[in-house]
Amino acid sequence: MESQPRAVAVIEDDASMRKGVERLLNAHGFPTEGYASAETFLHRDPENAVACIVLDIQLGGMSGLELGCRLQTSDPGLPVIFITAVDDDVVELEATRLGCIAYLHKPFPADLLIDAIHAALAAPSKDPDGKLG
Amino acid sequence: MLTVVSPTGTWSAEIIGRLPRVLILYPYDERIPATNIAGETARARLLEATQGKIDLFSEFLDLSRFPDDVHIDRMARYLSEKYVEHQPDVVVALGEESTRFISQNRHRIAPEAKIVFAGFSAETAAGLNLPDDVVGAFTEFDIGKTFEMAIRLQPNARRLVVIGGSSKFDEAWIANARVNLPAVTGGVETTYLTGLSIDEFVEHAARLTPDSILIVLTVFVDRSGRNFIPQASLEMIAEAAAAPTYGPYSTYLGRGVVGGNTVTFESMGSSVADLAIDAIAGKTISDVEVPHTYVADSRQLERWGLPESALPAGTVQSFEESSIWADHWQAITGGIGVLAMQGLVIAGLLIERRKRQTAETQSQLHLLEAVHLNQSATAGALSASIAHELNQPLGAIRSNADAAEILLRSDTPDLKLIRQIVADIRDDDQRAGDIIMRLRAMLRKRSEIDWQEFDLNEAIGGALRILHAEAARRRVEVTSNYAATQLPVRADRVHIQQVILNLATNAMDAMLDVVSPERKLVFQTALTREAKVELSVSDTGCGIPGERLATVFEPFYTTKPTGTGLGLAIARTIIETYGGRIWADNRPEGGAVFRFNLPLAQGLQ
Repeated sequence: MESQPRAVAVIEDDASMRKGVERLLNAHGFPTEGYASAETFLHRDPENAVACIVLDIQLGGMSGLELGCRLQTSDPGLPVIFITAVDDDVVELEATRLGCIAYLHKPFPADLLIDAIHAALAAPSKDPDGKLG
Repeated sequence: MLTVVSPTGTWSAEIIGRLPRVLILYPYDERIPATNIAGETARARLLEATQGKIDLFSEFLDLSRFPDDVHIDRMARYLSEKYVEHQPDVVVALGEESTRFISQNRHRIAPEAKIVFAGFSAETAAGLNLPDDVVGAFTEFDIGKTFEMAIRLQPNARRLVVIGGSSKFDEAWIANARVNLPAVTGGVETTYLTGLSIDEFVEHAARLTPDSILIVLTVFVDRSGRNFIPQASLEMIAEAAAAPTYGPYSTYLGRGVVGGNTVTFESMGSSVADLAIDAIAGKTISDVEVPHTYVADSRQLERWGLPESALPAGTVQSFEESSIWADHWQAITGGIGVLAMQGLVIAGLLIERRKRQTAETQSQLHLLEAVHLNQSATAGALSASIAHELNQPLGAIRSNADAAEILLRSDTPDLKLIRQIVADIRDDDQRAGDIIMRLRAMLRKRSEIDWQEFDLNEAIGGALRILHAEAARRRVEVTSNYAATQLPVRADRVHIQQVILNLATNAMDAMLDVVSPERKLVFQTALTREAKVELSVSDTGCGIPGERLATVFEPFYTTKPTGTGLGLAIARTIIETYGGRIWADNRPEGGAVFRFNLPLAQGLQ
């Protein structure tokens, strides 16, 4: 049963990084939607349901952590994978407390992200059919 | 009161029953080849003309090392006492300083003596306002004659290129050439290369066609502000040149020039000696010009295949057999980089500069050490944002490469996409490389100040690129309002950027306790009415307590647990090194503002 998997949102302000992550996910068969900021993600077409989000911590405007906090109330259960280019224990602690699936330091190997996506899509509250063919 | 009459034109040495006395004044000490060669030639000529029946005296005034009035007065007093019983009949003044000295103090030292001089041009002499009876042998260069030598050797030349540097002296030479060359160049197309860096001069010279003539005047300073001894800059250019190179100095021989027309120290000395001889003989003397000499390097003639027979009559060739040039050019070039044109003056300037440099070297080394420590501290403080900046392109490269690997596993890989991925990887690699290059430029330890002229607005832009990640991390909003015009300053760019970084990190630290939307850092530049370039850095922190405004720039003043207390002190040292001022104020609306100004550089106005 290969039903169309729902998209993974990639929220990342660095255009080049965003493109790279999207390509990687596409190559593994996941459709993606890219957003350059937390704000554009929040104001997206509500039709665009997403299965999980890959969220950069340092964003212009609202930070990734802030968005994570909001989603906890507005969309509880939406799995979040944080990615960051900064080593900061406090931030990492806070992100973990938000209940993220994974917290990845750029540059990260593909396996870590793909495994995290699988884990996210396999999470109980989500459709379990994101399996790759 | 010379009573010698010499009706037959032969020398009569009987000045009231004694030998005539000639005092030769050397402007510097006894170790300067330029004045020594001129003086020795003058001595030899005087001895020869008088068959040794002459009393010669030499005094080394040392006016380069002791230019102050106290020394001049002491020297004048000393000489007046020393020569009170031996009043000279003629004083030979070598160089501008000696001439000024004796003109001003003749009444004390030798009130009855005739004064003759050599070593500078009529134009310089006009500036000295010499008394009418002070007469000299002027050094006037004729660059047209250097060209004439070149065109005799290269009759088919189609193009003349003239190179000159960026110092006032260099520019005066170019102006001279522009006035005097057109009369002789005829149909030869002439290009003046000025305002370039030494590398650019070398590059242009290397691209010439062999049917060109290259004349190098002087490059004391190039566009980037690098200083040279003209022989050294000439040598770099001539070595790379793809066409025969000429120049107006004998000191250029052996450094790659074919030759040129010049005034030698020897002819300077013998011309002024001739004036002295006539003066002793009671003849009326008036200003003369030191005769010109054509000089050529036979090895260079051979290198370019130029016919020796085409050299102007009387050309002195070096490296041929033993000649006056072969004997002397090394003596001339070896001691100190001295030029024939006002060589005496320039030698003095070089010594003066070296002396000043030695004195400044120590304090400069301390400054450079302090700046380097400061640079390292800044790099440490910014390391988190540097890592962030680097990890972005590295992250993108990794994801792109991993994606490409997956795509390549397919039986029908999407080659178009893979090509795009490879192109993006290359771009990101470039981005990472640029970050590292910027950092290295920022952190490079200097052994000396790298003087450059640059636009302050541009330097701020560079510093902000380094800062922006840190500002973003700290949620500080950075804005900059640049003056509409360029703001050229002359300093070491890296040092000024370090000041900007210090002021910016200081301001960001001051805003730690402010809620994030209120953290604002504003850079503003302006050109003031006093022709100063000014930068202000304002923050929205809590300001500086009034009693501390004056002491924030003191070393080890700090309110920060992590601060070294040196950032602002080093900022002040740097700004003052470049002739500027730095100060702090509180803004009426809250927060502090730090300002510095620097003199507007003249070159770009």
